[in-house]
Amino acid sequence: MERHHITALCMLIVIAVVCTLAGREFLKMYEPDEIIPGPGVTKVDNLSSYSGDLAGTISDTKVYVLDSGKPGATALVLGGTHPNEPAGFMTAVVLTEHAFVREGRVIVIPQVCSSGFTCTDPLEGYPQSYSIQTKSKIRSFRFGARGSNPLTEWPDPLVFLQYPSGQQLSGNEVRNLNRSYPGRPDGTVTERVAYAVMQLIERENVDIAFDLHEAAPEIPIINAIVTHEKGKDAAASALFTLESENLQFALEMSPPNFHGLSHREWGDRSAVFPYLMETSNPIQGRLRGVTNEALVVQGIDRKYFEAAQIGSMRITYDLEGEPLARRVGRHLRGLQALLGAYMESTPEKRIVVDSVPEYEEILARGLGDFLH
Amino acid sequence: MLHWTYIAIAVFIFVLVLRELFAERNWRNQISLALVLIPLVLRILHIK
Amino acid sequence: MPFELIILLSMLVVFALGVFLAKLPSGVALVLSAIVGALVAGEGFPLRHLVEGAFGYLDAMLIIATAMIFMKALEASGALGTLGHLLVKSLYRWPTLLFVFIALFVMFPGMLTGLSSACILTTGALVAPAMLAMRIPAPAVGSFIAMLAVYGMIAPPINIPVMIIGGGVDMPYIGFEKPLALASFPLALVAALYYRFRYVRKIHIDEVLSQLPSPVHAKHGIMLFAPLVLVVALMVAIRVVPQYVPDIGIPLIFLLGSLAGLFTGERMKFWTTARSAIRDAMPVMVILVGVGMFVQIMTLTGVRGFLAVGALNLPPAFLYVGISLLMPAFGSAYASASVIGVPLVYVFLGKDEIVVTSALSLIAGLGDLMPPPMLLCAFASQIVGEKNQFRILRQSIPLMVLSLIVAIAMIAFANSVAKMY
Repeated sequence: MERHHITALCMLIVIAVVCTLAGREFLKMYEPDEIIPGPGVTKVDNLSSYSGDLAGTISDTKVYVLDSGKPGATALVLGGTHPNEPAGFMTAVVLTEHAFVREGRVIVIPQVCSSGFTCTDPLEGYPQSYSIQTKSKIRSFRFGARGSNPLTEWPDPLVFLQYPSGQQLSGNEVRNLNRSYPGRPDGTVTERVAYAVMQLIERENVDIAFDLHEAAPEIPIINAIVTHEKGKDAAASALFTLESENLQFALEMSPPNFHGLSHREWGDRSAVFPYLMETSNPIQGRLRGVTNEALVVQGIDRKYFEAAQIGSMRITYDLEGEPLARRVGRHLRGLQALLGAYMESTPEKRIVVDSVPEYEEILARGLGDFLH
Repeated sequence: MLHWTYIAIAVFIFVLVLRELFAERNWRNQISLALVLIPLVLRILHIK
Repeated sequence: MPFELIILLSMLVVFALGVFLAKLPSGVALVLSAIVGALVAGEGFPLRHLVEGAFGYLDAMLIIATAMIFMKALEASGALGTLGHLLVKSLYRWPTLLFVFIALFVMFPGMLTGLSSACILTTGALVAPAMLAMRIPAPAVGSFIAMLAVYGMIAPPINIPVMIIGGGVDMPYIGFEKPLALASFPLALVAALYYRFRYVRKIHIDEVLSQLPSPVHAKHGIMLFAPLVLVVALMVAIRVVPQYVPDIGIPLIFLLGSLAGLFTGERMKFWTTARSAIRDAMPVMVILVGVGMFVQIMTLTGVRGFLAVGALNLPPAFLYVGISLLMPAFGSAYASASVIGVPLVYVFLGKDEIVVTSALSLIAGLGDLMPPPMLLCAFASQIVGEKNQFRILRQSIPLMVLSLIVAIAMIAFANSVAKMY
């Protein structure tokens, strides 16, 4: 054997070790998060019940039903549309583990883009998980990617043609669930998930639906409620309630010509009143400094503070940061206010959810107090 | 179908790079070749 | 001195030492600098992050590998040499026209794919031998095709940096054709004229033709060009009639073209051709691995944010100068568009955002020429046989400066520009 063959072999061994060690880290993300159904959960189903071929894939996900047994409205709450927006996911987890429905019915999908929870986006330096101290233990949750796992539908096209609008978007958006509605049963994996959600909305006669998101602090629509035209009166009324509690939300209308978004397509294609809520998430931002677990949970970032001081962009950010507890608190409070406003406008369809932590309560006691 | 075609393309490139790794005499270039193998291997094995 | 700056400097120093002292390939030096950056930042040896970074440009790596195989197949089949021969022979009497034609020809794959490297690897490689035969110095030829590759990437219909910025600010890719044409075609014309009048006096046609491989179209007929036609036709079809032609992806298109080359020209051994292609593509493929790791560590350690906030922190008078220097300094059009392009759209809120984004994509596009990766210069240097890729970069400075001026003017007068059409 010649010398360069020996060096080649040595390098192969090194590569094998590197791939094994890194591969083990990557594979850890395939272990599902523990979500413990609370006393309010009456049924646990799978999303594949609404579109069969998701069954057995990493794109299938749990659907938690909290049914009061009393007639009323049905609400749908989606967390984890974008798995790198943890407040949406955690809000859904708090509802699943802690809430109790007194009238009507609530359906919760904490990880609707479940394959996105099995990886993180390259070049972003994201942590793979973050931990929260509850009363009894430390619980760890996965921090995922923005879209579906590329392995489910690699390769991405160069340009994503949204179905059915034909709208052109950057190729990697093909894995963005919130560009894929209404989806189709024989489309990409992400389109099939979108289709299953549409089917669920139809079959379960969902009246009001929430898609919980987060956005980078520099994006103008943070701390906002985005509404379809038909839901704007209820949204305005909810905003009024929230303002009286000193919680500022901006009201954004769903752009009529931007297709594939939940609020646009759910609203146009079904009877549901759709709402999307955004909180401010520094770890998603392009101006963020050190990227780690603490940034997910505490949301404290010096760089955003500096950027806010500069003032060349409209950024609201102070040294308290944007802790996950606060973001979850905002989502929960916004959700309750919208449910209230919906009942005002549609008194014959009641929906009452108890045991949802108040905003101040979650700030004071911390997120972990409302998890098992 | 397209997905598996691309996995096959990755395997093809992997084999080419591997062949070059053993043909290359300069250790610096061998490091280059070895580094390129990493993402190919993990993608082919559906790990990342 | 901010800690992030210390990390960044340590990374750059290691990169420079690796390239100039240890004579490492620049991709390997980038990997080393990423490792050192993580160590300096106190992150230890973050193996998972390093390997994850290597995935950042995996698709681009496949494109480059397959494009190179396609080019080698075209070369081996005789199509490449024949086309260069025919191009020069039919247009040498009108050098200005020849150059304008060459410019558009080189830009073409970039216009369709949004990839600058596709231009260099296909049409750029096609015209380079002919231009070298016109006695244009190698660095100038390299710079010419590298600049046109940038303009090709920016030109409509497909501009990926704009789509990346659009993805970050929720702006659909609609209505960009005219501002993107404005940001690319006039500059390409200037580039063609600049190189035509600076370097070409009189074309001694016999001498030029003797430098090119002998044409073989008489022997194989029109079929010789079938692989090229196939590749272009597929690229056009998936863009123009996407409802009928599925997007099979650029790498597969190139491979199909390469396989077609086996049957349409001079005999070749596919395995040998593919191996030589991989040997040539290797320096660039490893650069993509290295850049991915480099960017991942920059993000992890906060250096990326430090640069982005630094750009915003520039006093208004220096803002334009600052972004002209900072955006290309990311060394990658896509990285620059994503990291600085997105926040800058908000900085320029109030100006026509389609024009602003188009102009920002042009500035970001210049990043593909810049170190550390110097992707386009590295490719171009291989194609024209110039060892020192920095000479190609130096040669490109006048056109880069002009491009920056055009882009800045578009941003400054965005609303007036928007009214023009």
